[in-house]
Amino acid sequence: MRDDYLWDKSGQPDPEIERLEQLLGNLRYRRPAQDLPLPERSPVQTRRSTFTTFLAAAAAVLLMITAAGFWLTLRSNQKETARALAAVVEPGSLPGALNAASISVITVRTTREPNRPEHNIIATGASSPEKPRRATVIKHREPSVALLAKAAPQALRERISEDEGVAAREQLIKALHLTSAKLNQVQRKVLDNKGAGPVS
Amino acid sequence: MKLMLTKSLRLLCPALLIIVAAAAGYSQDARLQISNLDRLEPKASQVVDVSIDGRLLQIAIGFLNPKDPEHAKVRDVVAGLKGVYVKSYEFDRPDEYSPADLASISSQLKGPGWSRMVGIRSARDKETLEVYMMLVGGKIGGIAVIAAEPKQLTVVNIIGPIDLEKLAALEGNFGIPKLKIKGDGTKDKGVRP
Repeated sequence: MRDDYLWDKSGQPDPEIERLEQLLGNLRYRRPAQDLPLPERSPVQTRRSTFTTFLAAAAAVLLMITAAGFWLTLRSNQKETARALAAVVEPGSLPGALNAASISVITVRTTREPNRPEHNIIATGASSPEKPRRATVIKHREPSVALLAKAAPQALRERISEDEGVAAREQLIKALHLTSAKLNQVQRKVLDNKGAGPVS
Repeated sequence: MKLMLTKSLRLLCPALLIIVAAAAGYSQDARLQISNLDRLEPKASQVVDVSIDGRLLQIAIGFLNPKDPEHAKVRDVVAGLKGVYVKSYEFDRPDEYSPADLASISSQLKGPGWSRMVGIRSARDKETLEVYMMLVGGKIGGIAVIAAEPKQLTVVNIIGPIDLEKLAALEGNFGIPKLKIKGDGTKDKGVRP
């Protein structure tokens, strides 16, 4: 006997099974199944959800703007620091009669805390025995100590080197003297060509 | 429309060529390659090798004392320069260098932009003195001096605008007396100007 009828009511029905079906069929649940509707969102809930999304987006944008501002400030400080340090070794760019020979210590202060020195930069400019060394104060808008500490030695190493400066000056003077001597030699030869051969 | 475009292109091409040529002329570099002379160093009894590029020049200028009149003259001369390169060799014996050593420099000075101001060849003294100048836009863009003497060879290359009169007037400064040559050719120490 096949069990197809028991499985999907196909095939030959079993009388005993049919009898049991009829007996127990009276007890079957006849009421229709209850609907299970999804909970509906109220307009207040909808507005709240939209507001939350908007708030999150605004927070993200604000965060990005803050980060960009911070980054730009850092860059600006770095540039200002570099400019200030560059000015230290370019006597012409310093205010007043300051020159490289007179700079020894530069104290950088913040405008926020004007009484608190943030960083001391020792600048060994060309020392001149007759001139006393003096301190110069350069004010920065918002200097970063970390940036100063990072930028100052590099800039000083690169741009302030007494030995390099003096050596360059001496080399320059030597070169110009030699060139001047040779030009005068040419001039003399041109003017006094008694001993010279044909002048081309 | 097509005719207009063709005409515009015909006008534009020569204009572009002129601009490119002008730019090329302006960017002509007065820097000479004189490093080939380095091989003369072992033979020389005295060597002066000065190589000051723009950055070093600015540092050197920064270390000139503006209150010192001699330094002030130097500052006046070097203002605007981009580089100073000098190689000078003194030998104990004559003919320690050959004309071939100067060949590459001479070939550079035959290039566009350079023109020889003075050229002196003395058969008696066996010396050659040459002064070259590079003109850029009607102004001096650089000079070159070659002084080849039996026991001394000097090559000078200065880049940038320079006043030769002021440069020549520097001799005798820096505590070194100016040498005056009498009419009979004998040298005599003169008085500093």
